[in-house]
Amino acid sequence: MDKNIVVTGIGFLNDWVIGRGNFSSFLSSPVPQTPIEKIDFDTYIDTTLVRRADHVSRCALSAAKLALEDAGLPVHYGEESRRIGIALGTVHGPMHYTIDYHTSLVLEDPRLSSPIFFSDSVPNAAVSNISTALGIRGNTTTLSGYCAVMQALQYGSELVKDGLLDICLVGGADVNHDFLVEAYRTCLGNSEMIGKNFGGSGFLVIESLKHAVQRKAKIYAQLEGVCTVTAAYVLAKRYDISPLKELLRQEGDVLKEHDCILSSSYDEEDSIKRTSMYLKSFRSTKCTILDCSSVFGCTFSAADVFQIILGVLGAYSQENLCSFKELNDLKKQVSRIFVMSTSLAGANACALFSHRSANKE
Amino acid sequence: MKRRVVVSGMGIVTSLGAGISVTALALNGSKPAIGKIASFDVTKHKTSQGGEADLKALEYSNGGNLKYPLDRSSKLLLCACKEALESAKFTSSENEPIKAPLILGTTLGGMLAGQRFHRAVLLQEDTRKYAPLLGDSLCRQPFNVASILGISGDTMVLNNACASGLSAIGYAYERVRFGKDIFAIAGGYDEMSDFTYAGFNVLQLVTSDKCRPFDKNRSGLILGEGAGVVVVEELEHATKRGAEIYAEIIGYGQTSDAYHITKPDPDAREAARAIRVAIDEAAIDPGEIDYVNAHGTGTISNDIMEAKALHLALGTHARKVPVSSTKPFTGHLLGASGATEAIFSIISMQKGVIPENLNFETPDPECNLNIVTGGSKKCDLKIVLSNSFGFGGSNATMVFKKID
Repeated sequence: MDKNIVVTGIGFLNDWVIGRGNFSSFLSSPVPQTPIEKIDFDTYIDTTLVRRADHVSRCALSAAKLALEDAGLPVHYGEESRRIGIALGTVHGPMHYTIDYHTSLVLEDPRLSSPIFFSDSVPNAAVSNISTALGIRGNTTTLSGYCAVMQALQYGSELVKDGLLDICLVGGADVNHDFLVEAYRTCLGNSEMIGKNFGGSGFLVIESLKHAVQRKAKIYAQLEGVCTVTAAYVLAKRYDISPLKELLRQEGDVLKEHDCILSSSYDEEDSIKRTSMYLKSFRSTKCTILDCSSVFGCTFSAADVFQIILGVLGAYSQENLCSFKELNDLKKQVSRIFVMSTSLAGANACALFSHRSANKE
Repeated sequence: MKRRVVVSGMGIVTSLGAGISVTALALNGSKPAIGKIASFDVTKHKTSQGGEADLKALEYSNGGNLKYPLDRSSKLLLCACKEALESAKFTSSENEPIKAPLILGTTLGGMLAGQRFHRAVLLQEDTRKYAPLLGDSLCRQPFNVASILGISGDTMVLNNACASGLSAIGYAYERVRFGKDIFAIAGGYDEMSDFTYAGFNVLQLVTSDKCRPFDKNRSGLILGEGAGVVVVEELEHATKRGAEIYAEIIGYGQTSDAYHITKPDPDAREAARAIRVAIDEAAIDPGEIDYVNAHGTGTISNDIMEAKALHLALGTHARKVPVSSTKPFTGHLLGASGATEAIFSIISMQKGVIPENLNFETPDPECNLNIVTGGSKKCDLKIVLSNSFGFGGSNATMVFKKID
């Protein structure tokens, strides 16, 4: 079994733009160009599904389809579809239908509420819709804990490494909703946390290097590893660099000058300070550390997957892929990108992507 | 190198009660625990019955002196997890947490907590009093339990609808089998809520009659709640530390129908493939399977599909092997069902007793299985297969082997 996992496709869709090619314009645009509600989903997905599915499902299915197309993988309804899987991370799942359905239960007669709202309000609805629409019959799983997208990346890459799948679509999806703003305002006294409307979905196509080379796929980056941890006895957010430490240990404890660390935390200054402190123990401390919290906002799994895509594209192009002012430092050449994620309950995760020069587009 | 994987700890709570011994007694004595729902108003629904757990008993078993309030799902999960760790003889302290992944499956996590908050918003009540539990609506239960019991590792929540619990155990099994972990804690949980109760009612999947899986006159499922947790461990490690070994996991298969968001594929091809993958991995002949603990929801479409899947995967043995669904005992526990039924399967091997398929009266020619009726059956069971299927076409199957 080939333990080398590579990224061969990217699909992306959010409140601003659609498609991998537009990722940099998403990062550089100060205002939404096309509100996602007005996007013609018919272009991407079956009309019946567009009418029926929750917003999260629509976003996720469109992003998944874009990722498969980008990877040059046509959708098959044969034996091959059994070797393809899905691992999707989502924190809130199909928020719109959940709220709509519950509103009808509280304010109307529950016997008259729509069965579609209920069936599409289960957290695995998006994965089910992707699997059904694209005919994917392997292991298809939704993960909904903290750092869910990183866990999905870990889950999918393990299935491929262990030879249980040839290809896995790994992604994240979450959308914003007024209820979330109200809930976070009440809970934290602060709705700024989700003030940036970056809801949407992103997917990576991952497969073994051998499989990718065999089918002559374009390779964006190699996934060197994923590490996730949860601290016992802690329920709050706590930025913890131990996953980064672990990945660096696996890489022989060598920090390279052109390494880049993309972190995401509740406290940018704190995360950068803690990461810098740790990196001082290495001879070279010139690697770039950027906190993306203010870039992607806090739309949960959507923000996480956008950050991962930024990491993959950074490793691929080895240069800056945006002109967004907070990320200007990425203009220098990078060879490895560590993507950090922090969530509640002391959940922290890190993924490492490296450049593969031979396949540069 | 692939390792042998065993179950070295189990914990369970359902409407039958809290604990393995209480559960075994109820299963062997054919005593179900289905009653009228008391935790919410059912007057507006078609049905009024369900399998609710005794939460007062849970408060007692959980110690009753927790630092912060827990939602209903967390209480269920904590109870099962605590028993599983105790039976596996794993303990933690402030300085020395249990370092293992905690992998749990659920359908709707802590829906009740989110519902309370949202209801207050809709009715323009004061939302602040519901805020402390709001985080529980985000599948926080495993993190609550990890914090209380001192478990440090990957805490993961899998949502594969009603196959979630078995998917979680399956993933833990793969991690140990492929050498990523020495042991893992895995299972499933789900609470009873009017959200799911109303949902299954509008989908017309629930019955006001008894739940009668595989019976010709079956008319639907009954909902329940609970949690089931197992400790999955490398055989050598469990043996070295003198742990009690409840069963060996010898095969697991997981597939997806790619057919419909609620309906199973009537051709049962992918459900059959999940069974075949598990059997192939176990390197056994289908004829060696001594008992099938079926998903058997009691709905028209599931039971026909499952029977077809068993026929496709087991061949002629499908008509001979004893089959029972244990859902009439507890109700359908959704995300917990795969885990609790895995535990029922192991209990049946340990006790040498196959639980009865309660309320079965009239055979359905479209199912044509050897359904266990007329009380539980004593039988030496060496290999048992457990099925779990869910909305969205999630199929999971696990094969257990008795270790003498």
